[in-house]
Amino acid sequence: MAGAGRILLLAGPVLWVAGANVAPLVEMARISLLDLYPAAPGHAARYGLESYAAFLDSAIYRASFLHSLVLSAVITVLALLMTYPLAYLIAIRSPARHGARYLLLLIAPFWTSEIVRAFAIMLLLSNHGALNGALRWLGITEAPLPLLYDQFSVGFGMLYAVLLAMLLPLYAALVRLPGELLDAAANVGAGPWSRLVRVTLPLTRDGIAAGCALVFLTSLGAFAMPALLGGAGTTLFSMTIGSLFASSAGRWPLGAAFGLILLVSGLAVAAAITRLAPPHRAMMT
Amino acid sequence: MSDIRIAGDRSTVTRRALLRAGAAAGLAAPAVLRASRADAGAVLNVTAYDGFIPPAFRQQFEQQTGIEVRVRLASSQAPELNLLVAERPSPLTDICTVTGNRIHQFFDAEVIEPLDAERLRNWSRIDPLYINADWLAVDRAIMAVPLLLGAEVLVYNTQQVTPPPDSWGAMFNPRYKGRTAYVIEDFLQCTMLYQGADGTFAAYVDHPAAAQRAVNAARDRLIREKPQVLKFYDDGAVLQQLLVNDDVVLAQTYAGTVSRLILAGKPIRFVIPREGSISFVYNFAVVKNAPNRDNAYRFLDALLAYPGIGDALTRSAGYASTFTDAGASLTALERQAFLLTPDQLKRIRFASYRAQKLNSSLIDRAVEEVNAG
Amino acid sequence: MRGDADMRGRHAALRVFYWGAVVWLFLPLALIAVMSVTGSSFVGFPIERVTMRWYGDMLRDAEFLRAFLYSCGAAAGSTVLALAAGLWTALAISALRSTSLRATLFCAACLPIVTPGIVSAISLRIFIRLLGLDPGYMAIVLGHAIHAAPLVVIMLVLRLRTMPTEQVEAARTLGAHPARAFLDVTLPWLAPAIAGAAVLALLESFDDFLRSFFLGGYQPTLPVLIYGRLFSGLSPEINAIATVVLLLTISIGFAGERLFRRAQPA
Repeated sequence: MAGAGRILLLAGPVLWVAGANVAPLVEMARISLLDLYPAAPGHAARYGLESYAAFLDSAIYRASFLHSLVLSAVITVLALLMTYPLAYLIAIRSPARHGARYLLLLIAPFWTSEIVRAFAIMLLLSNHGALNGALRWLGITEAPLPLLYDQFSVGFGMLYAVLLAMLLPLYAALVRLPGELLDAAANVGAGPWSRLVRVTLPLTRDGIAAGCALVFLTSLGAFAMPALLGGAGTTLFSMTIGSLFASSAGRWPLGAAFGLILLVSGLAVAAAITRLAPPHRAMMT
Repeated sequence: MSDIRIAGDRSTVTRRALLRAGAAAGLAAPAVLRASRADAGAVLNVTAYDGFIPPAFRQQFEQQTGIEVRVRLASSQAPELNLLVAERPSPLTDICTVTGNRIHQFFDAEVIEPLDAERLRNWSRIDPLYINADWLAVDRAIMAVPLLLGAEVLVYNTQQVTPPPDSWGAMFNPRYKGRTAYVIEDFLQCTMLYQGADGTFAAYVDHPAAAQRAVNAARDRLIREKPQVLKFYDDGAVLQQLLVNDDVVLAQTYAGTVSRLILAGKPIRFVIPREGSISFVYNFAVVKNAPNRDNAYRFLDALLAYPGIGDALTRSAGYASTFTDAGASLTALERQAFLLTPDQLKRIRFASYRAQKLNSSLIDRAVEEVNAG
Repeated sequence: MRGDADMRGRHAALRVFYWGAVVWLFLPLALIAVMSVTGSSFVGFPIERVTMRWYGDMLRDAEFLRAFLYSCGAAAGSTVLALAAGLWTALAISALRSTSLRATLFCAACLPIVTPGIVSAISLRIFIRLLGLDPGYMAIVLGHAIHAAPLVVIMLVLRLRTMPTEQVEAARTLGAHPARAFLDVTLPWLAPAIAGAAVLALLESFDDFLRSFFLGGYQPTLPVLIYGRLFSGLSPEINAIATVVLLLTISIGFAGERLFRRAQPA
């Protein structure tokens, strides 16, 4: 490519990323090194690594950090297992004219505010909720089943919240899959599983990687759903970070440091996931 | 201020890049949506909670003065303070809502300024209990106008909790295992009261080690009793749902949170337990460097002078007001839903101003430990 | 050749799964709709009376209508900006030959989705002051676009990686201008990913509370208004609002899909 064109191509994104993404983080990194923030305007700033040391020292923080990583990984796998068949049906196994409608139907729920949806899930799962009401009415249970404010309801809510971030990349990958290829595979006698494993899945690795990266990152930062649907034993790292910024004792440095820790680990996982999608050529050989 | 300067060197570069990008976005913006700022004549910008400005009063004030009252709704102190800190030193906001236990923090952050009390008449309409409280003043200068009382209460379902509880200890009764909820930060102080410690922290101002011991004792109790609690909540709306959906039958909260349920006839009542409770007051304060300071004072003055303001506030916000004639125009049910009896009022205490810094650092840490423990 | 009996059986299973997912997604929404007609002043079972009062309140609620339109405007503006920035960035990343540079730019471009919401909201508030931008519409559009651009980048970069490059090269060899090759080959290949990214960007903006709260002036977006009103509790009016927004978006979506399908040659 011509040098000038190349520079032009790179200039915009580099400026955008430096200005919009990196500059705010530089500020966050600075805060993470301070001893106190927000501080009274007269307070002389002192820099140090105490906030990072606090993370390593505290079993509480490490536990909620691990909890977040594990939960996000589980949510990502569940979302992939659940969404792939949906995307497959919509993109490939429905007449082209109807695919968009099937897709729209799955997108529509997400126009409702997340917080209102969280309250609706409470209404569904609570003791006086719709599900328990139905079970009682059918005579299946007598006492209400406790379904809310534990790992189950958090998973329920988060899976709901991230579904779309998995569905759209998968759909985008599947919809461009050449149908003739699948037919050809079928014609040479490949069974359904072998077609899935040897043709469809490899050809849609880009979508799988994009979906997993998006879902993992979104779950890691998720705040509203776990805060509203979680119980007394389900503290996630994002909630810890949130409470540090809400604290009244100038504990932003801790929150900023933890935010950076979450960010770096999230990016590392996302980068690893995206490597699972090799470039086109490598894949065809 | 240092936080402005950090990325300052880059601003000229990024500004150009963003102007270009901004032009694209501008094309997509319908012209009607382009907000015009400060050119609309007399305005007043208030950051308040839902219902804190009674609609009838607002309408009358706007008509009489020609000042347009613009309200931005906040719903808790932390985001509001963070927003106001980010607006420094040239705020958009003229009046903000601050709770009594946060006044020192708002003041230290240079977000609010002392009131020019001379400019407001009718101070006498507010109960002296609040005007003379130590948390309202900094160096003898009154900081804010007290409006509504956030009384810390024990709320219970009358059909499932019998006899009515009269101690915070009910929260630890095995009968209600898994059916209680609380705000950790607040209930920690209630537990301190229950254990006979000084939840106002006034006694600990010069004894930080004793304060630490008292906080630790309460913290350990809460960690030990974790199976008792179904949910740590933060928003009143969540507690309302917990009670309505019958997930929770007993909880610590502020009286105003459940007034709507009582009015609607739900079997919900509240008490102030015999150990007492640490409460707080919602206040309006004038923001430091407020762009429309004169309008802010006209507004506060008119608010204090408005006939029946106390009950109007109570009806629109759901909390008991701080005015001396509180309750004069309320029905019997409304009194039950909104107000405290004189006996209950006597058991209310406030966190001591001098102890606020001490207690917030101790409590923050204990809250995390309870959360994770 | 997609129609033998065995396949049809499996498709039936897939269809059942699909409709199961639809029911799962719509169950909470159905409850929202049911609660929008409750006669009591709070949300919860049992419903003793049915009323349309909350819909009346909503229609008279000028504050809500303004906030709704404002949110739509912010979502549209920020999506356009996020798509432009995200597409440009994705193309630049794909054009880089060095793996480490590519990884660096990719990670830097993804930063905003992993930044805790409150941190990004506050640093954006400081950032717009540096740019000399007042809080308000433009600030919200910029903030939402910054947040949504990584979604676009992730989807497009991965899409570009699997693009059959022979086609572009063929077009080039045949003497097509790079721009021509881009429009004729690259863009159509990217189209589904762009459409998907646009939907995600629109939704992110439409549902964002924190950034809108910090970057907005005294005109609230819909989520900011809803959060503020939640202080006094979840009112059935909020459910009425959510129901109307849901029905509106479904009808607009399906109407748009119909128009689009008609415009296409068969």
